[in-house]
Amino acid sequence: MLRHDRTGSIKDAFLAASGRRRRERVEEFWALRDASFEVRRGEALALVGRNGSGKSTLLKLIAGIHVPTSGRLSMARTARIGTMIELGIGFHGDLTAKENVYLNASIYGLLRTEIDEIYPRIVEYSGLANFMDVPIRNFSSGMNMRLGFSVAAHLQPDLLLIDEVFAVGDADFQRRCLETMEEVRTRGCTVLFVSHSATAVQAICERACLLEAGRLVLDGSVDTVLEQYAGLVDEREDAALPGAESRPAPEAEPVPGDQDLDERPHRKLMGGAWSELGAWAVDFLFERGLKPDEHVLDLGCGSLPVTIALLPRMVHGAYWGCESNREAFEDGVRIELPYAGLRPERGHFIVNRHFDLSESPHRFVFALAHSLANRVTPEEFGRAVAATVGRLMPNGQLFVAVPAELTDHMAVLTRVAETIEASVELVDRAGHPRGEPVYRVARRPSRP
Amino acid sequence: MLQSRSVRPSSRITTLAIIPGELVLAAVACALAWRMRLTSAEFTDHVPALISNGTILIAAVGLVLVALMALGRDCRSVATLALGALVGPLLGAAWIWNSQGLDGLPRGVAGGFMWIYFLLGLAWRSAWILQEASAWKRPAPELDEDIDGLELRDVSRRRTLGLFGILAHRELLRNLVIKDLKLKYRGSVLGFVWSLLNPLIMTAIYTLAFIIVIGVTQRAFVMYLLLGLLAWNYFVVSASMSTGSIIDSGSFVKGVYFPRVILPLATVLFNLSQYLLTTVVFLPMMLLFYQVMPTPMMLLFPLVVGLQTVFTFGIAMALSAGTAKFRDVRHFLEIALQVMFWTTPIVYEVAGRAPELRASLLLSPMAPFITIYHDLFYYQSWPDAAVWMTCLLYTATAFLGGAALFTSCEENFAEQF
Repeated sequence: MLRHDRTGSIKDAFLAASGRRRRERVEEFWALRDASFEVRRGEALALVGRNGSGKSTLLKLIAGIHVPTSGRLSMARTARIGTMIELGIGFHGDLTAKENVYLNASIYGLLRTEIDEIYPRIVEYSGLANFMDVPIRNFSSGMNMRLGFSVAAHLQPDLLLIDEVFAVGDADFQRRCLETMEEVRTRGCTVLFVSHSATAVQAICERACLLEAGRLVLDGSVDTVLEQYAGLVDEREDAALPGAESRPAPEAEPVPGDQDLDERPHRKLMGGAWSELGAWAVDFLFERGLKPDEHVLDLGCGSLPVTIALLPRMVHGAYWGCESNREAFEDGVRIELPYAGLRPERGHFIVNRHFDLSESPHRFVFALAHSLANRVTPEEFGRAVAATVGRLMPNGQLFVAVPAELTDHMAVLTRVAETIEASVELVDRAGHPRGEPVYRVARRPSRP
Repeated sequence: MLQSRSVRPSSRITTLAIIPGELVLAAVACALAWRMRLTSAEFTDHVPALISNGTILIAAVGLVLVALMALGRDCRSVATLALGALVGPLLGAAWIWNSQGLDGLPRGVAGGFMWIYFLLGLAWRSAWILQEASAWKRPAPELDEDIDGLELRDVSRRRTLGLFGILAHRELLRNLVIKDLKLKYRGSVLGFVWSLLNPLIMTAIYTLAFIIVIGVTQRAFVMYLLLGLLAWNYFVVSASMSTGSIIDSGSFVKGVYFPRVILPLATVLFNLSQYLLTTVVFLPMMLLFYQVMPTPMMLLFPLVVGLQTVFTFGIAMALSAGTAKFRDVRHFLEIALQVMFWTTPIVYEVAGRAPELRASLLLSPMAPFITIYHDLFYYQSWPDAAVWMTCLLYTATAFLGGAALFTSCEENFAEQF
């Protein structure tokens, strides 16, 4: 079921009930339908399909996170399920790494003695032996991820469900993931694997199922299914987004090793250094204390250079992007997100001309405008900054990169800050990939 | 190993449907308690008649049930039980009337018997909801076949209230409670002293206001106040923390399956540990200071704490599930707790006031618990039967209602984020 205008307030429920307001529009939407299959013990099955085809829903149904409206799901009575849908569940920054490992492992239903048994192996595998008594708020996001994966890899389940977690790590991390998968397979563990990466699917699985619009279309060997999937993507890519029909011929999917990627129009538009922006922004924000579950705003997300790096590191729904250039944004969603193996539903996006943020119910802890000043007029820039500061938490901060030569923009920034009683200070002179100085805008504490 | 099949949707009983029944029963029992106003003395007078004639009535019910069974009716069906419960007492009453005259049916017997029925009804409904909510009851596995020689089970609808699920995840429960305890004191200089300072300061303020400003004369006022305040704090902090149990645990609920009921339970157990720790410090201190002799009835303390914990757990389940659906619950709770604080005898005394006033104050859900604490330690007398009745009633209603609400909502928790 897909419910539009879903709200969480009693007022709305009463208004709807008394008929003074139109009822929420309920549209029947089956995320998954006619998907019957069997997996045998020790088998490794890949689930492939385009975004929104129901792969993750299927995995979450098997994991027990969602409950099917109808249908039946049977499993061996003694089987234990391990999930790698999100890593590091329940990690708390103020607890030490060791305490977090025990908490995280117990969520999967392990008992104390069982955790004691695997604990040394988790420590060794994560390579964090010296940091186990350190509160993990001091960890980098990479260390956090390594710890989370180490726990998940040692649960020794009978059935392992994996949802694109490999996509987030660096090359070394991905290599170790593949090694671990092989080891898990040799132990006789059944694996269900959701991924967009053909190489990973080929390395791990021998059988694959292709899902399309919630239906199981094809069940067969990995090569056959991947071939069919590639055809499906080519044919339907253009229809994936509304408004895409009026566009000139679609650009081809970027392939790894393509050196001219940064010359693509949607990337050039951002002002250069496209591929470096993401890594910089993630380091920049996390160094300043961003937590994965805090609401963060990517002001002027453009063709999503920062999104592809930040989205996987934030919990579902915590990332918000805002952009005024619809075309650049749609290019980003159409080309860059699938390439990074990400789904846009993981975050929220607001696309409008005026940077009107009233759509967002949250106030943000961090906001970053990495490539805004160099693309918009001073007036638009000022409006965006004012709108954003208005949606910050009391202790929230906005970081803006303003190229040194754009004195007009700088003047507007100072004037706007004066009007809304915010402070502006230079925090980073040279870290930005394009060498732009980064300023911190924050509300001044109100006078008593 | 794993099968997924498409079949037609099965009909589902909504556990929510029993809540109106709960409310009606609560109202009836309150009215009953009010009408009878069973003070201890009156209750004791009726006990012999209650035992002798009550036995006759119960025997009559048994006989009717046996007779119905002999007539070939299924004795497990609700209709048969209800028939037995109606016809049995009528026959028994007729018998007593015949042998002892009308005096043989004193008020106590009738009331006591209704009370027994009420408890039996509660027990039956508890068993029903636990069975409904737990993993034990499964549809017959007619579709499941063995593959690889493994026995398959249907896992499409995992219910979590079952004791089994909580037991299997007891380590998680423990870790969550320990996490809260650690985070509470980590990095603070005074640590646990803060938990003692809070009730001390509140006591000081109320003492100032009531004894010095208003001029209330009451012996051992500080002890009276602390007994109520500590128990009240346990309830209030659990209730307000539990509103966030589900919605503040997004990563838990979306990322992995575990019995969701562990989240509110952990909140309540964390506050229970706080309550016990502060009580262990304050209670002996007070008893020594006011030179109160220990009495055997003080041994009932764990029982009352247990009842309060079950009551609080029920409220916590309802609040955590309710907040997941309507964020308004939080704001409503703030007001409701204020009202409850002043309608509960915590900062004022009601002993010796009109029975009507005392009985109406028992309507406030926390009042019977606080009254029992006062009776056990401050007055050192047995709590009234009416107080016990309302206490049990609130516990059962809160637990069953909370469990029903929680089980009916929990399947949708993951979609709330």
